[in-house]
Amino acid sequence: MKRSVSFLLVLVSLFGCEKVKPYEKMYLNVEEMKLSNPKIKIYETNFQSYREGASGGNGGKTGGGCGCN
Amino acid sequence: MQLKLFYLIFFILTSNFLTAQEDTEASKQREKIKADLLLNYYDQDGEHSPVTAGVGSEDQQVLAPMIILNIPVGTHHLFDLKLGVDNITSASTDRIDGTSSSASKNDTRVHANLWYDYEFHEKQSIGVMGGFSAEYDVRSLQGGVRYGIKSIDENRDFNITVQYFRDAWDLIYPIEFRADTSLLLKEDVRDSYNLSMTYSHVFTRRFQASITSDFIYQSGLLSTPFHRVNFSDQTVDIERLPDSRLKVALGTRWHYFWNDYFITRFYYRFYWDDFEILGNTIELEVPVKVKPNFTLTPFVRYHAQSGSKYFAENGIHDPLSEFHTSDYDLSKLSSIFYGLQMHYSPIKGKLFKSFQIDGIDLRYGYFDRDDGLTANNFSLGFSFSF
Repeated sequence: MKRSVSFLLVLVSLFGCEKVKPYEKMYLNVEEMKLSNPKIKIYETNFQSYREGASGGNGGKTGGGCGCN
Repeated sequence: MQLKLFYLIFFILTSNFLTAQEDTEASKQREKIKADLLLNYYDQDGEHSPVTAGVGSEDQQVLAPMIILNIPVGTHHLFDLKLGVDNITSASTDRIDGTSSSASKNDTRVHANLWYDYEFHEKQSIGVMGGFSAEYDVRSLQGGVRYGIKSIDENRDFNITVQYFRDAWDLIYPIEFRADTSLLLKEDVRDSYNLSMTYSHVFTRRFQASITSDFIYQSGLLSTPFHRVNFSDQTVDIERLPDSRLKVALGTRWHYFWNDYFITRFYYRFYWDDFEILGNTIELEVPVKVKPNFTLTPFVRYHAQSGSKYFAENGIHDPLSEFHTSDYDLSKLSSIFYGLQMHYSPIKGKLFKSFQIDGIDLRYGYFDRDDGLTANNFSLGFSFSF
């Protein structure tokens, strides 16, 4: 776990960190850059939560509301 | 002098007019309704059906249309409505009664939920949700609240959501168990409590990331009444699982804009629950802008998990065990899912007056689980605004 966290911190530092002004966000505002899943992926997150024991952490179904585990 | 005064007055009047037009245009844009029409076809097959104790066909097809409406009202109110109907054909549920064809072979699940969000000053919003779903053996009611806050520069974003699900089951047992009432399960409802938190951060002009944590607690009926288990002494029981379950999921997304043609979307998730399932999931999507209005996105997803302590294959379970399942969804497994998405944004998408097609998406993925279950997943989506 500690190694994983250290690895992530190193990766983040490689990408850098800066204050980005609203008019500098033309790349970040591209549709494919959005941090949420596109709506068309709803079905995938659902069937993956049914066919695998794991769910959640992806903005999708976490449990309840279906006849599934 | 009079000419200069005239020009000055003319300039002031026209600039006010232009501002008013911008306000009107801006308010018109804020009030646009966005709609997504989605259609999904899912086709799976496998040989470990839990209805027949971990052996038997898992052949299943699902045809699922859905509509999602995003309705802004004024500048502060937003309604988000989802309506869907899943049409399910399943060979395994047909085996509950042991006959070759029955009403349970075809099932329809209807689901809907509505979020209302109110955005108030200081870049904060609150929301409330209600919803339901119903299929032949389960009916569910759901409710939730959420809160979101953004930093002044909108480079940081935090959201917290709390949801509750109440699932009521019809206890449909395999036909051979219905005569003996001593085997009846004690619970026929399931309560699920979900706490979800997401933090997003803009790091550079080309890189942003988020981290999501989900904490889920479930209680009540957690097994499926018509799932069978074969013991090592060849006796049979229904699936039995504990009446509580705690799940924790931590996910992170990293999105990087390399250039006008190439973006990478990376996702990783860690999962743990007290059924002793530990899971790791990674996904990579690479949107490639072939043309300004046409994008191809190949993707690949890999998942691996340890098995639940309550799982065993057909004929392995100890007949004295209190809890037991042969549902391979809860077993030690790995899966890979890969495919391609096409996205097209019509340049001249306006059909009439204010009705516009914003985008068309087609997405195909192939799912392969290491126990032999495979699936093809096709999704089609149309995005409109009006």
